[in-house]
Amino acid sequence: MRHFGAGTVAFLELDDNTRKLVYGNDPDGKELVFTDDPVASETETQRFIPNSCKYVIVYTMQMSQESMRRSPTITGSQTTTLAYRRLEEVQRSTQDFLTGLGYQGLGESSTNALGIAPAFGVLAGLGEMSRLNRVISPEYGPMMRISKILTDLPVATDKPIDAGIMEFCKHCKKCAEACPSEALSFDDEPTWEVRGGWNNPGHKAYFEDATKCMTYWREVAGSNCGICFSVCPFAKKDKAWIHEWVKMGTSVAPFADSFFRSMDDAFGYGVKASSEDWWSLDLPEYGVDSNQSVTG
Amino acid sequence: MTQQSTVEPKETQYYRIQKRAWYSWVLWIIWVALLVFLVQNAITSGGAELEPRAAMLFWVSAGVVALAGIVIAFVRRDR
Ligand code: SF4
Ligand code: SF4
Repeated sequence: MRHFGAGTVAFLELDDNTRKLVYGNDPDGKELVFTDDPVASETETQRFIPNSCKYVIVYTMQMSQESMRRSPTITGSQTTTLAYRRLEEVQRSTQDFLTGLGYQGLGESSTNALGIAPAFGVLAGLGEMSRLNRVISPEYGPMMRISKILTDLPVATDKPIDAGIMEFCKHCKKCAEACPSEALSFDDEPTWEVRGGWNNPGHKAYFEDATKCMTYWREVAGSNCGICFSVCPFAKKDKAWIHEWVKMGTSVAPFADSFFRSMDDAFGYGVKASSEDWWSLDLPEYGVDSNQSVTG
Repeated sequence: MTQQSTVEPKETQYYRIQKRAWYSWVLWIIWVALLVFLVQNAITSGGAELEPRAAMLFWVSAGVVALAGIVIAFVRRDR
């Protein structure tokens, strides 16, 4: 899947608990139904998922820091759109590959369909939830999007990780301070109490007020925003050695988190860049370094 | 047959050879490693990462560390 363009890839078993993360209905209104029928099928109103498809392939697509740090502009938002398009390409290529092997691959019928991507990402060990109420990975920080494919190909599954990211969020709050619509939580601890529109109960999180966020996109910015992503201390290109050391520090020495946050500000990270300058930058394909932090 | 030299040295010279303490070597290795680390961060921050403020701070730190090492080496040259 790396060959097709994916960033990081992990696997999860679809058991009685993780099945709850599959939506009842896709965005087009079709009901998602598990069936004993061994082959996936679809009618006008329903999509049937074979019970034999009990594994989830969860994968990420990098976004460009240089685009996102120009948020909220079209220059900034295009990297999100591009990441979703590229996830679709990876999905199609992987489905072809699985079919070639004699297995099924059931992907998203449209962007973010099928199931709750962040939850799958966390349970498969691709990253941790954060104050953004999105996944942050050790490799790309929040600069990525997540997608998933259900399959009957038996795979070795992965486990959730603790890289000190959620713990860091407790002391950081940089995204919440930068958010122009005050949509992000300033709470010290994540909570079970659901807040804001469109959020679901049943998990402990820093819930965001998505209604405030969307209102800002539509009525003020005129494009997707993403300021909160670009200011995050984990949103680095990881060329300078210091970033790996800081990440190591946040995972083993959480008492230093406040110091790391202060240093992030002092070194000028997360400052908005000019959209005009973006045109003259010498950026790699899609604006991302596909080797970032990924080894092996 | 070889002929032995009968020329005597005119004067005797003495050299004092002082062995550097082991911890001194360790400290110089740390100094070099720190310098390499700071310069790497400075170059990549100003280059690929496009972070001018971080680059400037790393260059200043590297300069201070380099200068400190040179001054210490100069001050301790006779010891
Ligand atoms: S996208 Fe913008 S408005 Fe929405 S939460 Fe992030 S910073 Fe706030
Ligand atoms: S900016 Fe700070 S608080 Fe917000 S998601 Fe990133 S690490 Fe967490």
